[in-house]
Amino acid sequence: MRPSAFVCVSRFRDGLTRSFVPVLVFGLSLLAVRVPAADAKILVVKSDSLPQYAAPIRAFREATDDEIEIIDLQGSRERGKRLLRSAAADNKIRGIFALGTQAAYLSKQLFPNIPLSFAMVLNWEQYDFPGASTGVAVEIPVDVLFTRFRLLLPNATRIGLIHSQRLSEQRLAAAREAARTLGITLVEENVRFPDDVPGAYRRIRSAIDALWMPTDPVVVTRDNFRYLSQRCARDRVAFLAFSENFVRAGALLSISPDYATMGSQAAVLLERIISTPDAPADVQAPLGSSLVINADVAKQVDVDLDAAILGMADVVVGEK
Amino acid sequence: MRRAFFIFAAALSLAGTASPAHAADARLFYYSPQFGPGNLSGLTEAVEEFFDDARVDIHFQAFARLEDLRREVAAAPPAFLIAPHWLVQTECIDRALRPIAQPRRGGATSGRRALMAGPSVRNAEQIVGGSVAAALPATASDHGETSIRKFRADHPGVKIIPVPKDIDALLAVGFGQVDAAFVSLAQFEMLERINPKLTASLREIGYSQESPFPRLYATTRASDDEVVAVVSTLTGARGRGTGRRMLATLGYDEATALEGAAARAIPTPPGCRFDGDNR
Repeated sequence: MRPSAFVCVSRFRDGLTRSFVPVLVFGLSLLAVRVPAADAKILVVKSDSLPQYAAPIRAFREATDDEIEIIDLQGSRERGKRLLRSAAADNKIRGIFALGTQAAYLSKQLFPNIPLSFAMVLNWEQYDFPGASTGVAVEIPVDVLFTRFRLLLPNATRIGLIHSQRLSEQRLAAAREAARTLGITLVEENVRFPDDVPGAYRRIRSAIDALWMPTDPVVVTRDNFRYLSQRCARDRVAFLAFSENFVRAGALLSISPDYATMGSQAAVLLERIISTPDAPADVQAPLGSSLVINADVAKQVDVDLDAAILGMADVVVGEK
Repeated sequence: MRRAFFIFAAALSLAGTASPAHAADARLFYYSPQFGPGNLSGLTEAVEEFFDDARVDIHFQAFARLEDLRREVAAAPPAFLIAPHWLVQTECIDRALRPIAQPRRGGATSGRRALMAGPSVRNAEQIVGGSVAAALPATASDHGETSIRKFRADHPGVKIIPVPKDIDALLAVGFGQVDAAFVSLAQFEMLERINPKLTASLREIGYSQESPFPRLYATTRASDDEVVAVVSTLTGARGRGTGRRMLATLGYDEATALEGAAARAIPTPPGCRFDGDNR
């Protein structure tokens, strides 16, 4: 835009230039003007109709004073383009809250200059969200996870970790550092193939109090989970998973992000980058957590579910 | 002495005898945002088992959400309520709420909560434009403890991010994700034991509040006999296995009766209206 404007200016005589330039500058400034808050709205864009999106959207709505308009891409990029362009036609969008990878990516692609806050985007680091973009990551940092583990299981000072090359170096390094800080002995076994997992467990089982299972696609298979959950219960090793489904299937506990808090957090982050353009547009780890405990497994591995632990639990499955 | 004997005899006649003490429609409601919502069924089981064991006929109902409690209270106020102090000061539960028993933990009857901040924040005024984490009920942003309400009033520009649990708020400020957090000192001490490096960088910056543990209140629906039965049963809980389990589930060591000035009825919050006779 800027190069052609200068060419136009250079072709006019002085009289015309004097009237044209102010108009041109004024016109250009309109493109960058902020929408007055009273007329503005926030677009809430969700990749599809997942029920998990409801809680963060509700929390986001409660945390913001702006009018919001919800757009459901229903998994379709073309539908998304059509709806987003239509919603943006009145130029009243202050910001966008996007849930899911497709929603975040498409929103940023279509509106690179509109502040974006995202949530529930897996591996957000792989995507390019330039400009004013912020959000809430899906993964709970390892140092936070290990701190919670120690609070819940103060006697579990030796934690086993079976991993492959698919577990990121970053996460592995963070685990080692967190263990060091908290006085935990991290007992590692590296595997190349899923079938290597049982042997890896057998090598470390007598040296650990707990086994941490992060999201590693080589390690986390149906057969391996069944094997590990059964053996951990038998060996009285606390089996620490990353989602409620695994706890219901036999792990001792899981710690995962709280979806509602993601919405509140995303609202605060969005407002920050809207109102303070120079504010760092970083992606934060989720503040809220959901702790799920299996009471049956707790009994098997001799973990006493006292009030301190129960006070931190959001869901307790099984019978005490 | 004679009065104490009479109460004791009345209590014996209502609890621990051949037939259950009939508290007729006596219902005991429980609400505490500090209690993990995922284990209310476990709590219910422990409480019902205890009262069954003590042969006191009472219906216990625990609530995860404040709006559910409000709805049930509006439909029919219970005879008894266990709730935080701030709730009975702000919610329209009944014409008169009388505290009749309190829990104890390590000899204490209250816990302290405070606003803790990270190393770059020396006072609450420095949080302007920042964010504070706090464990709050899921809705009703204008409710919560007195200290949080006061903070909102003093610093309207600061965003309070509600999180599910105290530990979430504490870890959020510990790991630098928020500028400050309202936390319980008991949780802080727990964290300090396992990660002193994390807590060493945190400091208290005011809005400290000593909050009594959630107490047992009697409404106007509770008869004198029912009050005596419930209080004596609860204060004797430590002597029963089921009682110790119930207390442990709640996080307490024992319950003691409130008397005299401590048992004075709580003033009804302004604006509350109740239909007719509540009994």
